[in-house]
Amino acid sequence: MIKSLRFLLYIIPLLFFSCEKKILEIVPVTQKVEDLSIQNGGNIKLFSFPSSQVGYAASDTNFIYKTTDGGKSWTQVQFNNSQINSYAKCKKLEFYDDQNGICYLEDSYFLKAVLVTNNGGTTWTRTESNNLAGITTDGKAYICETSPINLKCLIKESKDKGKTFKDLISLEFTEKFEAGKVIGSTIFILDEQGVVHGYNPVNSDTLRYFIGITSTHIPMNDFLFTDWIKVAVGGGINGTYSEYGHSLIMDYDGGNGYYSVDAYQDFAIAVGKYSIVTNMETQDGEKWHEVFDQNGNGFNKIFYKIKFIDNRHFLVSGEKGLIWKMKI
Amino acid sequence: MKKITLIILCLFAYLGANAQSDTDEFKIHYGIVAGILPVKLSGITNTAANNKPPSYRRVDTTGIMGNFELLFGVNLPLYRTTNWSIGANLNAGAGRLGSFRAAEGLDSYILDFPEFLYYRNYASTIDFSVFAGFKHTRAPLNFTLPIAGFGINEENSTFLFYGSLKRDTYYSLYSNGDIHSAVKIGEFGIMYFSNF
Repeated sequence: MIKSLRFLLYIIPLLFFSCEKKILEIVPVTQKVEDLSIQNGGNIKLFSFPSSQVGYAASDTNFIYKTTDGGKSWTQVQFNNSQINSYAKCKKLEFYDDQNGICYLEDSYFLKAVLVTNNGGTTWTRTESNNLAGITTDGKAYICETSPINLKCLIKESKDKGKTFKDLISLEFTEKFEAGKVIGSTIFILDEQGVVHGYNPVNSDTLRYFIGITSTHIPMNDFLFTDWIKVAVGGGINGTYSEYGHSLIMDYDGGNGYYSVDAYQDFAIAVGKYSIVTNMETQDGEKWHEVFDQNGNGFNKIFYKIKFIDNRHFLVSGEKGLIWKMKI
Repeated sequence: MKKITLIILCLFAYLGANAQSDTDEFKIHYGIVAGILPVKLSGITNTAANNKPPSYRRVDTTGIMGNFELLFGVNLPLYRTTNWSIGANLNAGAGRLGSFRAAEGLDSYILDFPEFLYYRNYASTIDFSVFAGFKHTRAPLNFTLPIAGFGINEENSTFLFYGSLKRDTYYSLYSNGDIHSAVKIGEFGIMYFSNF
């Protein structure tokens, strides 16, 4: 009997042996690795970091912020331009390097102004009075000159970092201009109907994607079209591309508005109201997922802009001067 | 709890009074299993009220599930003396797993495989067994529990009381490499076998 009991005692520990942990789900989490926030900085909707130490940021004001110590401290930069009134707000902020950059300003009336600096924001020169679409890393800039008579967008190109512009191509719309963006070497223009028109000056390709819906005007706040990924964000995430009609179909409605999207190759993150979402593969069959902090909690901030630094790090800006460097 | 203890003691008294010494033999049996499964759920949940923006929080919930199943099996003596034996009891069953509280997502039909080794003493006043083994449940969320317990044997039937020695755990893998418990399941219950 003793032998048999001993046999049972030998067997029992084997029952506790487990080779590996069983994973039920993969949860995307991110953590703040550096806080670059601007004290009393307002809603930071734009930022541009041409180098690790020098960065520029803008909120709903007629001035911008600049850091030269990697975000430890920020100073206000005034435009000091007699053509810019106190109601003008920076709507696009792009820098080629520490010294050369462009700010596109609008007011609530008719002012549209492309301001260019070549001395790190000390002085600004107004070079154009049309919508800035964006810049390229090789020193080009593109604007869209809209006509009040017809719905054409004349794209003008600058090869000298925004100082002078020349006519490039005229694109015909069915609705009014909504926003512009330059991705890689392609210029994208979004109209109020949600149709994106694209033009690549390198190979002269024209593109057309539909990212909104026709029956109701739902503004798409940001979009991204690359060889890796096609996505537009607004009331939800339109991230499934349909060849039929070249349209993007909504595949995530997180209940929040989304303001910005960026991607490293095909790995995308979108930010918005109390939410960060990603298309990271989690093996649950869904395409987009909420991202949580490292304790598994959501975010109670409004985020306005996301920009990847590398495949694991990104910068995000938000309300109350928020600028975080995050790791995912 | 006192009522349950009283019922168990009464059952023992009844079975003990009716227990008969037997020799342990190869037998095919059928029976039932009824168990209680405490479940600890940890997950990220939207805690916001309706019409409010989502507010995600990690929330721990304790749920209670129950199972009921029918099974068939064999009693396989491996070594016998005049007073005691050791052997294996191999079973396969099917039934239903349902939530009593806070674990509705795990409701399902199940296949169940309670398998254990036993020591049986049929020379004492009460013909009893002690056993240890595992119970593998096939469900949308499979789980395997090491179990141990004791039983009272009659000539043609057996009552077994079992409990899990360790809970089976599923984990959430965070993308930063951290691992957090997501579902922990334990079980205790009774099995009743009747020999063909």
